[in-house]
Amino acid sequence: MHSPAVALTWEFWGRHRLGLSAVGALVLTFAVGCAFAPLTANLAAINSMWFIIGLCYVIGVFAYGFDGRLESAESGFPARLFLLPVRTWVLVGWPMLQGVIVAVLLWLGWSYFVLRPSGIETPLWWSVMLAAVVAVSQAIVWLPFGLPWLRLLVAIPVLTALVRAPAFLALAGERFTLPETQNSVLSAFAAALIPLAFLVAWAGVSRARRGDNPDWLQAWRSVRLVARPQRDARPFSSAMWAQIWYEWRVRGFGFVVIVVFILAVLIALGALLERDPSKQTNFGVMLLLSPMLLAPFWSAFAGTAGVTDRSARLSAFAATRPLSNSALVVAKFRAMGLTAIAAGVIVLVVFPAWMVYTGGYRELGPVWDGVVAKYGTARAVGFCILFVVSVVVLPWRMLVVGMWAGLTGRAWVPVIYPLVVGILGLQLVHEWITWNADPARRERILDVLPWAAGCAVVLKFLVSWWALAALVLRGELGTNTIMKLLGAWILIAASLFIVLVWLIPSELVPLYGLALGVVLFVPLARLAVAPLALAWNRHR
Amino acid sequence: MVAVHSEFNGNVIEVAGLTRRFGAKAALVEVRLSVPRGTVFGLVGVNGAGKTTLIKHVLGLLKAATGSVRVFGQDPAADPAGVLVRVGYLSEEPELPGWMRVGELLRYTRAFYPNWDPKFAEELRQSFTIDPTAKVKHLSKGQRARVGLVLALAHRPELLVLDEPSSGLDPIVRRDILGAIIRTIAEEGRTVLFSSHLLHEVERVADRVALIDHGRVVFSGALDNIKETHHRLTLRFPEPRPHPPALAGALTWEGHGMEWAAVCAGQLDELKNAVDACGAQVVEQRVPSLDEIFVARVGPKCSERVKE
Repeated sequence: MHSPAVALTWEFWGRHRLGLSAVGALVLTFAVGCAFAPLTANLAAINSMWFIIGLCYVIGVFAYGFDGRLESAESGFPARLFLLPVRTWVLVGWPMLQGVIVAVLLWLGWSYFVLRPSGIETPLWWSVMLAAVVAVSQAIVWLPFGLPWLRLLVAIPVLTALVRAPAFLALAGERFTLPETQNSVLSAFAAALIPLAFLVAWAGVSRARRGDNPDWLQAWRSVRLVARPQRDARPFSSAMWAQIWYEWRVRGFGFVVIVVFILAVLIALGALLERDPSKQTNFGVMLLLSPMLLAPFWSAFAGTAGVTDRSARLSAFAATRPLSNSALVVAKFRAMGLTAIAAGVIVLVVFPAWMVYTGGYRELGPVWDGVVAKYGTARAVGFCILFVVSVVVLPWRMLVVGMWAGLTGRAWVPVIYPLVVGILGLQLVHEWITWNADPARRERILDVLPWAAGCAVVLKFLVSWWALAALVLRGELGTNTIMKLLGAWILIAASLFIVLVWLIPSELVPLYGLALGVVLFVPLARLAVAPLALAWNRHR
Repeated sequence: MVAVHSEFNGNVIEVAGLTRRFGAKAALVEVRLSVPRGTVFGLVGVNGAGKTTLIKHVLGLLKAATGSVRVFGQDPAADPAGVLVRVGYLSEEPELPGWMRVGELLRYTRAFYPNWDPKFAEELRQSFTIDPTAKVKHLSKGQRARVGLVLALAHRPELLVLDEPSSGLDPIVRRDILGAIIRTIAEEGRTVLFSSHLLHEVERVADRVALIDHGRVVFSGALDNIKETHHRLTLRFPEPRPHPPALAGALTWEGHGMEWAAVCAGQLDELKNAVDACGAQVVEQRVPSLDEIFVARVGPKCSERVKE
């Protein structure tokens, strides 16, 4: 390598060759497939989710987003590059240029070879705005902020605003809702953003390079130390509580913070952009669903077991805690319980406040009356209680069932597992959308569904049996503890089944369907596997 | 003195036939090691010899696929909680959570050890002048090592394991660490296992030493015995020699012309007889330092240094 630019380029493409190749292969595969058999518009739109995930990965690569900690106040630009005899504008400009070019080329390939054959036309400004999103993302990652978490507080609304730019433009007047006007204005706006993002990134990296990182807490810290003498906190009552505190600080608190950010953005979008009261009420639903939508993505990360939120590999400090693998996993589960409760409480406060603010509570009255008229007051109250409980329980369930992937400490497992779940999820979404389009297909699925659920239940019990037996053989858990756990599982599943039988009429869902659903819903196998996954990581 | 009351009276660490491979590379080959209770056991070897791999097996961070590892009679991988609660560990890079403050870290760690001595922890913290409000990530390397030392010592462990603890540290911090080892020795019944490149420190405190080279234990035993069986002989020959002679027991040579010095292993009488057979005369004989023994055992077989 004879030039810094080539060396810096090689660092991206050499280090991330597998991931970048996978994204390229994704676009190529769909492009080739659509050349022979174009997708329907619905299917193309659904499968664009994969493209978006790949695009996020590409942005992460070229923003050095996987190198640092996004929630920290320091610049996310790798400090090791500051030692290179290369000017700052080259260090900043070269990855920015590469990121923009790669993202836009991938998008143009997807748009032309996948979406267009499916009948979806995309305006020009999408391409330009994508370039701006890449550049702005890089600038936000590389800029040093004076406070931890401020980067995320800035990133989420800024990037959301860019993606929802047409809605903001429409606020300026009706003529800005015309497609031609939108195209020209937004293209010009995005094109202007790119050099601005470069300048901001250059200034931020320059500052970080000379060690001039802002610290807005410094003054407050010195005042705090002078004003109040340090008091010793009470000791933890047990090792378990110490570990729960640790897991909450490293992996639970961040989830709650991100939920709060998302709620803030949704509320801002709903208040600013939606004038239709009924659509504002729909935002209330999004508020409620926020923790549940975030939890599956957080789950594998919550299972990581290093000393920081980034590391999957067990450090010696973490691995030499005098706790069994089961105890370490139980501490994680309990910390996620606290996390789900905290997120649930926030959502349950924000949702009614939003409904009052938008007047959406008025729509709840007729809904309540309809449910009472159809099912009775007792069942209506039961639905409400179940609803409130599920706001906490569902995110907890989603947080803990995917933990085993992160606990393994193998980088490929948290990649493969969400991919498989994502493929199944997308297929479910597709079936949901096309449910009534083909009655014959619907009947075939309904015929097969009980058998598929039955097979899933058998698989679940087999995996659970194997995992619990392995835990007993290794001395992780005693047989008495296993019996108690199984007893608790049976009690929870039975209670849920009884409640659902009471709430849901049998003509809607047959009893055996409810039973299969409850057995599959109440987690067992993946929780039992979790300590074994940690053991695989801890004792290599 | 604080006596350790333990039901376990055998060797604290027993390693038998331990072999470990990482891919094609053999990190440990048929390692056998016994660390008696109440000793300071020094583990020496070059970088990549297998010291850290062995220590990881002792802590249960690596599972013995071939052979066995027992700490206090238990498998540390099978019962990490039972073993680790009796062990204090300090590594070259403590990998402490950077986001924690020192006070938080002490509060968190103490919860795991029933024997945690808060007064002793505070005494150590003050003697090391560690600010409890400082974040770990803002501490220097030496201060992090001191914090790691407090964490390792404050619960008065029966076994103290130190993996290159003073590597890259200034003399004052190294003195603190050595002092901690000596303090631990003074407490009856406690055991120390530590690996180090700083052989003069190992020589100062260790009762027993094992040398690991390319995953194999080259020698292991009481330091005094090791020194008794190694000798540095300076020989003078009647005629200048371009190369040193073939002397049974000679591990390494240096010198030129008529005078050559060798580090040898074996009985002194037998070595002197061999020297006489070569036609040379022993002009100086002394006990080599551990450093010299180490270099002789794992360094180049024959080093000829040209004197100016």
